[in-house]
Amino acid sequence: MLSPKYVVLKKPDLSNELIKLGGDGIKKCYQCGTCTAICPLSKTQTVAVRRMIKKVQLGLEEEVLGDPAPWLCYFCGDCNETCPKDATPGNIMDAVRKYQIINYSIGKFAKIFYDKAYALVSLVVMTIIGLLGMYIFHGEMVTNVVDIDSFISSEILHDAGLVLLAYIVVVMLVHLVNMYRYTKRAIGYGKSAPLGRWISEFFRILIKEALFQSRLLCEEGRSARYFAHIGVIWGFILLFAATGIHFISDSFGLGVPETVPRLVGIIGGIGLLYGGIYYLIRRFEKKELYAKASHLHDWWLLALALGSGISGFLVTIFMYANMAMATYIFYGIHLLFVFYLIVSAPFSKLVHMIYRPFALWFASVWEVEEV
Amino acid sequence: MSSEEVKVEGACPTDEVRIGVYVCHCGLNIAGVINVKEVVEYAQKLPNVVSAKEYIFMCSAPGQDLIREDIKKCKLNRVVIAACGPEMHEPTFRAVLEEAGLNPYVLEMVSIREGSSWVHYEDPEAATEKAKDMVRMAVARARNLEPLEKMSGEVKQRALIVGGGIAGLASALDLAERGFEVHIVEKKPVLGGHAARMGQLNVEGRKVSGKDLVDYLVKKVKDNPNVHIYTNAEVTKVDGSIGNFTITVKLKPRYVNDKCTSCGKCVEVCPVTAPNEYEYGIGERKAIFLPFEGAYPNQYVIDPETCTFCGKCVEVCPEGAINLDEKEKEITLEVGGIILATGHDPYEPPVGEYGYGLSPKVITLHQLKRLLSEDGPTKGELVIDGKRPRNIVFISCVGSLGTTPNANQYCSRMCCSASLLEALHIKEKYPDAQVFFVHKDVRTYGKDENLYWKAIDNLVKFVRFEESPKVTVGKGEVKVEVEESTIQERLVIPADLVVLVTGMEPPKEIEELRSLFKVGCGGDGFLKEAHLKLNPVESLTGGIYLAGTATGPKSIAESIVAGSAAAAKAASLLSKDTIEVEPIVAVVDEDKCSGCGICVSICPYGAISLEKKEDGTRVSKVDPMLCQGCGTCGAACPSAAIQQNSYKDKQIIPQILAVFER
Amino acid sequence: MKPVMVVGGGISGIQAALDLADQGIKVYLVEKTPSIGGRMAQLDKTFPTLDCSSCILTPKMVEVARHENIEILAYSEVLEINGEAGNFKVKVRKKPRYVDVTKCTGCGVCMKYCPSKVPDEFNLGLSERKAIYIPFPQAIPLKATIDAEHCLWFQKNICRNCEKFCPAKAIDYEQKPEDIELNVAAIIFATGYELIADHSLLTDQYGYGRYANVYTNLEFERLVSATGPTGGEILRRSDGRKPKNIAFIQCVCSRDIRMNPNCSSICCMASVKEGILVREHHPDIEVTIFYMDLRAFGKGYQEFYDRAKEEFGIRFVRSKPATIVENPETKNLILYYEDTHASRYKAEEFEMVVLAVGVKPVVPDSFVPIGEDMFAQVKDPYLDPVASPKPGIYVIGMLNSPKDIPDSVIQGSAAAMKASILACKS
Repeated sequence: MLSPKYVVLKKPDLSNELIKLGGDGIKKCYQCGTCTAICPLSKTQTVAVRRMIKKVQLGLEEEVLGDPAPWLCYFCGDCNETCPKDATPGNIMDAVRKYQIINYSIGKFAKIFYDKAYALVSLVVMTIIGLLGMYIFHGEMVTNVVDIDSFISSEILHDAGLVLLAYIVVVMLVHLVNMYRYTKRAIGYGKSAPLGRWISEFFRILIKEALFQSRLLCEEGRSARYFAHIGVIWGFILLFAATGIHFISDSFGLGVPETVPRLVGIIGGIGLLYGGIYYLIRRFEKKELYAKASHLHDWWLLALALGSGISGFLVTIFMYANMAMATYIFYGIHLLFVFYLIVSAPFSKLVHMIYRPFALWFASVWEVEEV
Repeated sequence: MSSEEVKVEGACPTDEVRIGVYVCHCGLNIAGVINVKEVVEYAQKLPNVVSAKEYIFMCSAPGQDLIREDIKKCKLNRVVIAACGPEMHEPTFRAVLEEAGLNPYVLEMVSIREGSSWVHYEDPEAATEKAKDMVRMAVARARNLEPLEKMSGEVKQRALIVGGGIAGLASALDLAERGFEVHIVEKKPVLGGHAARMGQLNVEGRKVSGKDLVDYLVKKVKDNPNVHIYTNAEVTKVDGSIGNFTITVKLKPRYVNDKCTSCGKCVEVCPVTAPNEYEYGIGERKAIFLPFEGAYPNQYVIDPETCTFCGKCVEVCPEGAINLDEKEKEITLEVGGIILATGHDPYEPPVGEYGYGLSPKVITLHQLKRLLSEDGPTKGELVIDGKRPRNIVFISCVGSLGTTPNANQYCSRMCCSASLLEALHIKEKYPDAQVFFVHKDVRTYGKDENLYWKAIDNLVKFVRFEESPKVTVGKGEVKVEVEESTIQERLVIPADLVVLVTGMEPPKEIEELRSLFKVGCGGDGFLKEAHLKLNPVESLTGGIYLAGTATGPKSIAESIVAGSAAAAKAASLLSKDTIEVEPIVAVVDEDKCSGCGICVSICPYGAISLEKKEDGTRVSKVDPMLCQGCGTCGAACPSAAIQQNSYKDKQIIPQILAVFER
Repeated sequence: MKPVMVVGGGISGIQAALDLADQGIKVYLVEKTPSIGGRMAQLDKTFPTLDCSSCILTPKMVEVARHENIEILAYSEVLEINGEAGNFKVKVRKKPRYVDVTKCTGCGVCMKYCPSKVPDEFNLGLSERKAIYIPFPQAIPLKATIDAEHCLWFQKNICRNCEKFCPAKAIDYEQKPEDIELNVAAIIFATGYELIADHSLLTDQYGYGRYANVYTNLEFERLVSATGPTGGEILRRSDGRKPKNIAFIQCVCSRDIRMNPNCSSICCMASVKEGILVREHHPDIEVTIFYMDLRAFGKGYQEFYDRAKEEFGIRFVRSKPATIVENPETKNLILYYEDTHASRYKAEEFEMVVLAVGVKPVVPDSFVPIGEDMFAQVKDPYLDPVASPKPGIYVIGMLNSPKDIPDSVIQGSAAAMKASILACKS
């Protein structure tokens, strides 16, 4: 169906920007459509890979920014394998994802996570802030028994946590509004969907896609990757839940036993570690297509997820071993990793956690397939 | 009058008419519909039919053997073959008759394939009945067929090549190297045609321009003693026929002779300007001008259409090379064969089509090629309206594929490759330029696919349309609006330059060419080849061959190959001393002819003339070498004095009457 | 005047031979298979005029056979080329037919009694021929040939039926290869093409060879041909039933970086033509052509394509299907593709699929230099596009570049012209 709006071509050198982000297949694609048709996910909902590439080639910047297709993709690599022009459509989708993350972000701040020098600077800055914070706020450390509160009091941590939570919510909201605006213009132009559809689709996607990743499962023969991904997702969810339980119990004096959030946290940590290590191995093996070429943002997410997971575990181990100093040191490291993770979340690859379900949601409401 | 009453005239081997009927299956083309066996049985019962047989492929060697043996065994003196139309296999079967000792013209072919099985495939019974009727009619006609003798004429071992473009030059060079004398007649004052102005032809490796190719061929041609070149010349009359043409050529005055040193003083003083047709209308030239640098002959020329004959140039010419009183001359050439390499015209969009003519920012592909040529008006710099364009939009299929009401229906074949080549040149020269290619299908066939890939690699933006794009010309602003069909978006492309990818058209003077050389045109207006697939460089008229874009759009390389191919056909003719022609020509019964001259006026081949007899009366006379056997004269003759061999009344009337004999 | 040798008896070789012979130059026409005719003999009808292919080819073949200046060396191969332009010494091996061609009348009795059945290459294996065979009824020379690899006498020392039944006593099991030495002025190679049918793309992605009802375009050409294995009936390989719908997939093994970046030039129009033939004979069969760019570039081609759409109701979908899956019960084929004019993924079932497989040249050993693009190199792509870089050697037809029949014929004539200049000088 022909779009009712007129698009003025304003950014003809869009291709070059995406080539820099790893989408050099743009210089090869002749629009046969094999990628869209071979995509295992197209069976449930068209993943318009070819159309996406054409928009990039033509320089339709806003249309590219508003296309949810890159978020429907899990980079399985089937399209790369069957492409008659070796245009690596999967890599182009990946490049567009980065481009979208950058452009949805406030002041295109996300750019720094795709540049090694900038990323290093930001890491240093965050480390200084983190260490400085810990230096200012740390308490009298008790060394004969392990008492984390004596290192940093949970009150301070809770306050810091609230601040970071507010930061995340505000920044993410801005990013999502950007995403909505682009997407509405690109695929939802002149379309209106009933509220009921919005709501039903929201829950369908939240449960089926966000929590249980059903689209990833539909890729036959890739169940190992599915379980690793589920591990990471539920790892994060459970760790967040553990922190939440602890916080709520503390703040409202509910008296939930310490072991409950700790147990939840340990389960989550195991999931995170399992998934993180799985991906680490795959990325070193470079066999599967998504893992063939790993970029800065892939390592960034992997390093932070694994770093916070491993350091968390070490803290737990040292705590049970009653090694106070070691516990505090690793707790500090753990806090640093979590700090990196949270601060960079709306700009780094981690943000796909939010963009992907939202893109799926927008696509399923606006891009209704006629059967 | 029944068929029996018509007595056979002329010499048959025996008085008795003995007919053999051979029905071909043509695989299943005929046998799949028609009950061949029934037709054969029916034929056997027809009067005078001595033998009737069937075979899967009559044209195959065993099929031919079968007929040959039958002719001898049954002493046949007429043969009817019920198979395909005579176009293809009449020569085959005539040869069979000849080999069996029969005159080849006592053969009648009846087309039960095209006439019955193919058109009535849904009703086999009716098709079979119709085939029987057709066979009966053919037998009726065959009874009165006469043996005829082929005529032969001398072949003049020289060729005329009309058109000195790249194809004509290629033909001329090949024939000259093969040892034949060649005359090139070029209408324009210089050789080279469009190819000389096509700029650079490739994107990498050896850089070649159209001009380089023309220069190479011109040098070889003019150094070859077998070649005679006439530029600024036109064929005005063609007499004679295959092997023996007499050509009248008008040599138009150049007004400048070969004392000219190309000093250019005349141009400075010439007060008249006209659009420069050698730059496809970009820029202007004077009435006295050099068509292009390094042209052959490299000599100034005065265009009498624009010249006011004021004489200023004569005054300043230091060599006294200008003579404004020069008169037209006429020469005649005697040649055996003719190659028409008359080329094409580029499609000229009407004013307003895609904004053409409304803004200097809208140009044709041909104009762009001139702008990008190093020997062009801007020395290869792309400057439009004083500025270097940044957004350049090619719109393809202009004048082709029926994209506009004025456009032709056909595909112009080479424009996709030609325009992508220029797109790549632009990208190479101005890497910051944005090139959009607005197209229907990208038809870079064969190895040219490489160009398409290169263009994608160089980030040329391909925009596919189904509905023709719109070009709006505003105040100094040009916009292209197009519905991109593969992403379903309406795009607006702000353009600094719009290039209309114009195709090829038959030259404007195609009608004159047609009547002058008695050749046909196809539905697309280009000259028609004898057979689209298997005789692509021959015309239907004997001794006239077609090269280059005269028959339809071609690339430069394809035109050169077609030039060589046409030369091969001409060489086949010229290497013979005599040529045989068909005896199926008009014959005049002088007793009946009243000398009214109607036939003379209507003969399309100029084959009939009026001659005075001894008694002073005038009668028509047919030159059998010229007559093509079209039958027009026979139909027009008021006294039935002209009849055509093999199609005389005594042959046709029984055939018609036989329709009613079922 | 020295003779000229033409290698390859397809349409461009035939044309080159005729144009040389008509100039009074002696021609040796060397053909690898038992008969001249080439690919064109296998075609049903030709685009865009719908001329029956054998109806227009046969007269040319007959002309070659009858021409006093042409000597056909069928079932022969070039072994060696020495010398230089104007004076080549060529060794040609006449392979043993095990049939005395001076006696054989081509009556075909031997074929009736031969017990050994072999897949028929003329019908691309869609039917069977005998171990002693004549490739097709219009074959020239019309002589039987024994295929020793499948002959029971040569393999198991039994049978000799053909010898027993041959009315002309033409069978000669003792025949040996015969090498002849020719002195020619120029050599024209017109060795033609074959389909790129050995690539895994065909089997893995499109299931050719795995799924019964997937055909190549040449196979389909034989299937619709009146002289083909089914007598022109379109019947499925799996169940011998007429399909309800047929899909043609263009650019299979063409315009593909993995094996052949060239466009094969002929497949678009061939599929359009085959589609029209289907619709002409069976208006109830629906025809869909999946294409990327429909390359109707030649004279009359666009008009033909327009007719296919408007007059014959053929559906054109701009897409390259990604894969084919067979329904194991019905043996129907599900095509997965993106309709690029709607940006929608689709799965559609067809009862027959024809793959428009790309072409590659049949390369004449080391006799001509070959380019990176698989096709023969030429001396100058503009000024001398039919000349090989080796002086005196010409490369035409599909060996030169992908091309249709008219272009092959034109190149045949052009090479004849160039060779005749050499021949006349020598």
